[in-house]
Amino acid sequence: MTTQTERKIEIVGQFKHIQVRDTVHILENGVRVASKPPHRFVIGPLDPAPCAEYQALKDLYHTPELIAAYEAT
Amino acid sequence: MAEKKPLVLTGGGVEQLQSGDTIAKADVGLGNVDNTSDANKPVSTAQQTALDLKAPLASPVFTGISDFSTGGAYFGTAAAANLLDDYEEGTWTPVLTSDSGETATLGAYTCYYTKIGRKVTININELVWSAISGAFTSTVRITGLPFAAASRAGGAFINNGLSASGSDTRVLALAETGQTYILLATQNDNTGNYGLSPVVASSGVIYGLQITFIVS
Repeated sequence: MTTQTERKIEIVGQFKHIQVRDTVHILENGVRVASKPPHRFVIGPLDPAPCAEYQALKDLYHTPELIAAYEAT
Repeated sequence: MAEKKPLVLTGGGVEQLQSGDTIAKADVGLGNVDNTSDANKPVSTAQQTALDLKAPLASPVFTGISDFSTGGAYFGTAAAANLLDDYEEGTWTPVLTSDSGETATLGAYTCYYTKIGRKVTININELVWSAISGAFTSTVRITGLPFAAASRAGGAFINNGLSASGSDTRVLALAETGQTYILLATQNDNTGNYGLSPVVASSGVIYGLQITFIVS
């Protein structure tokens, strides 16, 4: 038995929330036999990035202009 | 009645038919053909096996798990407002923190959510904290939501360790529009006034909290 994590990243809404879904699949001989419930979190314009991968996305989407607009709401 | 003569085949050909001759189906390679009406034609065993796996369009009854992963289903009317195209159950990890950076130490903890269409319900069951990194003197939040709320939603919850300050009388949970956290706000039940700085004890527990909000 092995596991494989499927990561789905979506950019959602006016303020480009980075929406992450991790699903761990259980494989037997390379074939998926079961999946755990997905685990989710969201990174908003003012939220810190949990790692470099997400910091790159924040740099791309959470521009100073977007953050300023978000803070103005 | 004159006796009908069978067809005579010679040399791979057919001799000219004479009046009174008859032709059997097998004589011309159509031995399996008969006059069965369309309604009475049987289906093959393979066809029947395949048909047995199909549900009728009217009032189908499904057994097992139906897969709507590439679309969804309309309920009531075939319109966008009646389309259910998403359902998901999963987990999220809460963090109890403050606007000014203090955090509470939580045990290994998993919270659950259920998403039905655009509606998300998050649950917290016995979220225990054992220590805080400093006095929580500003807005208290539970971060780590699985989705950002697209509209404000709130609710009461049961806890031990969070208390209202000043003239406020209770602590409420509030999902804010466009945010990825739950705000723990205080409110005065008599005046309706509210504040944003509940007192956080060094240890405590949120016994149960459930909020439903809409997402984009």
